[in-house]
Amino acid sequence: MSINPLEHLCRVWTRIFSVEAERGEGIYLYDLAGHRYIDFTCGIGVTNTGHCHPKVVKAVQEQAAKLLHGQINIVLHQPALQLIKELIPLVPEGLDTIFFSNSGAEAVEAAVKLSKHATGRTNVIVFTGGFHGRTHLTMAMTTSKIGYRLHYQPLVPGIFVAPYPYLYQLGMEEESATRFCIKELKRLLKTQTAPNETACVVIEPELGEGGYIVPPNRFLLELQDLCREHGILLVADEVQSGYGRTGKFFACEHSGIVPDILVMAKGMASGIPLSGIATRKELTTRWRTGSHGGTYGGNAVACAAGVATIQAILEEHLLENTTQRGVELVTGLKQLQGQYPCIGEVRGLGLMIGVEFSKPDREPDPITAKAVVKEGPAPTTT
Amino acid sequence: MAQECPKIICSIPGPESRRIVAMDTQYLATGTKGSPVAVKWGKGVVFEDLDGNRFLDFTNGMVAGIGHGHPRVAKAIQEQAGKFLFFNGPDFYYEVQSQVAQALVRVTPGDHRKKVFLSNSGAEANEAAIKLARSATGRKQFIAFLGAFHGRTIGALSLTASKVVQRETFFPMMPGVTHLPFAYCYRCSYKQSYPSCDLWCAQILEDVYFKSVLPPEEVAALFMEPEQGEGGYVVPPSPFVQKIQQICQKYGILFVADEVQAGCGKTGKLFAIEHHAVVPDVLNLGKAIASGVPMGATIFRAELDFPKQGRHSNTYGGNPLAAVACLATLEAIQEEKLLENCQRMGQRFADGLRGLQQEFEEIGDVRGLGLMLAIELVEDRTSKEPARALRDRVIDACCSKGLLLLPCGMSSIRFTPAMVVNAEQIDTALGILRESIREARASA
Repeated sequence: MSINPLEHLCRVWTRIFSVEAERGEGIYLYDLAGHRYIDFTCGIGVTNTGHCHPKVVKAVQEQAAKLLHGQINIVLHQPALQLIKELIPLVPEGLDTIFFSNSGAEAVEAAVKLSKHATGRTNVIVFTGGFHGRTHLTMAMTTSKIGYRLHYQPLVPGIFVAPYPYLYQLGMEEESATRFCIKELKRLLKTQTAPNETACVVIEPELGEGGYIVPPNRFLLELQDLCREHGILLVADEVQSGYGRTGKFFACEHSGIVPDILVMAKGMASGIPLSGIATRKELTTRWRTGSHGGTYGGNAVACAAGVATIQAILEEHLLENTTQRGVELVTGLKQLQGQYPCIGEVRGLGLMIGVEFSKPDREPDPITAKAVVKEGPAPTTT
Repeated sequence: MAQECPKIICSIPGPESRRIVAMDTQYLATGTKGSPVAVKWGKGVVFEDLDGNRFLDFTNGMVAGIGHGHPRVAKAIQEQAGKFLFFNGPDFYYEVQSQVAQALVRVTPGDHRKKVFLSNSGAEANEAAIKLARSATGRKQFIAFLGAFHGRTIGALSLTASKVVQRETFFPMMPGVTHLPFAYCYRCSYKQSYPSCDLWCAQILEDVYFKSVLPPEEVAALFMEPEQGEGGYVVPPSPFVQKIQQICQKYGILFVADEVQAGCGKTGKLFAIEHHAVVPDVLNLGKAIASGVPMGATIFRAELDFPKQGRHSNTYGGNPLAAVACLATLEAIQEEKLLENCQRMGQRFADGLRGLQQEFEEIGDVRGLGLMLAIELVEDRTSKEPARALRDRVIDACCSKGLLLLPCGMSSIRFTPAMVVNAEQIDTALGILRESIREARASA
C-alpha cells in the first residue's frame, strides 16, 4: 500500500502555495522541477541571512558532529556561552541576562512568567492587532485575528487589551494617535487593571502579523514613561521585528526605547528553532530558580547557528543592506500605489514592509490582497 | 395555636394546590422543586396548604429557624415597614444597620475586633469573603472541599462541589480553586477509618497538595462548612477541623467558616464551628439569620477590612427589614432559650433515628448536630451503594402523610425542623418516617 503523505498532512496548517521546496539559496527557493522562486516571506521573518547561508550551514554541520544536545540545566556548552557573548553587545543597553527557549510563543511565555515573579503582579496588557503566539497564554494575548482563538476559549485570564496606534485605520496623524492611545491606556489602568496588579505591558515595536504597522516613536517613548511611572515592566516582542529585519538589530532602536524584557525568536538561528529573552539581572534575581525552564532551550546546534547568524549579519553588513534595499522597495511600492488605488498604504521599517489593500473608504480589501498573493510567490498577506 | 397536625384531608396535591403547581410550572424558571405542596399559612413547625391539609415542616428550619411566623420577627418587620422600608444602607447611616452589625460581632466566636459586611444571601456572603480574602492577603488561590455548597454565583459556585448538576454547562468557573476530599468518614475518600487514619485527609493538604500543586503562599483562604449542608449533613471530626485550621495559620491562609446553613442555632450552639472549638477568621451567614427575610452577612477580623471605599458594596446590604428581623431572631433565640430546646429536641430526634437504624438495614448512617440531622439510605450496609430511589420514595410517602422533608447528599434525607419544635412533634415525625420507610421498601 502506498502512502500519499499529503493525505496524512494535518489540515490545520494553512497551505498558501502548493510549491514543494527542495532547496534554498539566498533569496531563492527551488522546487523539485528546478523552478526558482523569489522568497519575499523568509519563512515569516526567519531566514534573515538568506536560505542556507554558508556560514550557518557550516556551523550547524560542525556542531552536529560534536554535540547535538547538552541540556542546559545539566551541562554548559560553548555554543550557548558564545551566543550570549555575541548577543549582549547587540541588545539594548542595560539588558545583561539571557534566557533561551525554542519558539516565539515560548519566549513570550517566559517574559510574562518573569514579569509575574519580578513584580508580584498578575495582569498583562497587550495591544489590538498583536500576535504573540498560539499557546494558551500567548493566544490570550493575541488579538490580530479571531481565528487564532475561535473555539479555544476560555483563555488565560488577566489579559487586557489597549489600542495600538494604527494610524491608517484610526484615520489619525502621529500626534493625535499617540494622544488617543496613551489616553486609552491610562483609562484601562483606571477602569480594568490597576497598575499595582499589572505585571507588564507587551508590545510589538512594529506590529507583525497584525499588519506591519509602525507606531509613532513618541507613542513608544510615552508608553515607556507610563510603565516606569507605575512600576509596570515593558516587554518588547521582537519575535518578528528583531534580528535586523527593520534595518536595526532590534526595532526598539528606531525609537530608542529600552524595554525591561526583549523577546526574540524567528531570525535568531536562520531557521533552526531558537528563541530567547534579554532582560536585566536585577529582575531575574526575583525569578525563582527552577520555576521556569525547558528541555531544548539553548540547544547546542541552534546556538551554533545563532552565533553564525549574528556573525553573518555583522560581517556582511546586512543591516546596511536591509536599510538600502528597504528604501528601494518602499519607493517601488509607492510608485505602484500611484498607479493602483487599491493600495491604500505602503509602510514599514527596513525590510519589514507591508502594503495594505483597501477600498476608497479605507475598509480592508482582503479579496484583492489574496488575489495578488495567489498570482505567485509574493509577500505573505498579513 | 394548638392544632391537630398532621391533618390530611385529601390526596396531595389537592385541587387548589394543583392549580398553583400548574401555574408555577408555566411561569417560573425550572429550579429545584420537589414535593407538590402549596402553602397557605405557617406557624412554628406547622403549615397548612391551600386545600386545608396540615403538615409538619421539617425542612424550613434551615431558614425559618425559629419557626414560621414568629411573633417577635413579624412585629419587628411590621414596625420597621411603617418607618422606612429602604434607605441606601451601603451609602448612608441608620441605627438598625449599625445595631445588627454590632449584634453579629458580639455573638460570633472570638474576642478579637470584628467587622461585618451585610448582603442579601449566603452566596453573596461567600462572594464578599472571596473578595475580602484576596484584598486582604494579596493572594489569589482558594481551597474548598468536595461536598461543599457555598452558593450559585460564579465565585461561590467555583467553591461549590456538592453536585455536578449545579456546575454543568456553567464553566468556566472562577479559576484558582482547589478542592479536597472532606472528612466524610462514612464514605472516606481514602478508604480509611477514623481515628486510625490519623487525619490523613487534613495532613494531605500540607504533605501533598502544598508540595505538588498548590503553593501555600498563594492561597488566600480556605472555605469550610463546619457541618456540610447540601452535601449531606456531614459532620467532620473536630480534630480534622482543628488540624486544618492549624495548617491555615501556619501558612497565613484565612479560615472561612461557611455557616449559611449550619449557623444561627440549628446545631444547638449558635454557630456550628463552636462544636469544633475553632475561631474562624471569617464567618459567613445567610438563610436563618433573619428568619426568612433575605440577608447575608460576612463577619471578619477587623484588620482584614477593605482598605478603600468602593472596593466592595451592594444595594440592599443592611436592608432595614432584614436588620430588624435579624435582631429579633437573635433576641428570640436568647430569650426563649431556643438553643437549649434545640439541644434537647435534637437529642430526642437523633435517638429516635438511631432506633430506626436498628430496625432498618437501609439506614446506613445517622448523623448531625442539634436539629441539623440526616439519615443516609443505602442498598446494604456493606456495599453502601446509595439508595437514591428508596430515599425519594420515603420523602414522597412522608409528604403524603403530612411530614415535609428535603433530600441532601447522594441518598440522604435532611431533618431541619425549626428550633421551636416540641417533643410531641418529634415523636410524630419519627412515627411517620418509620411508616414511610416500611411502605417505601415494600413498594420497591
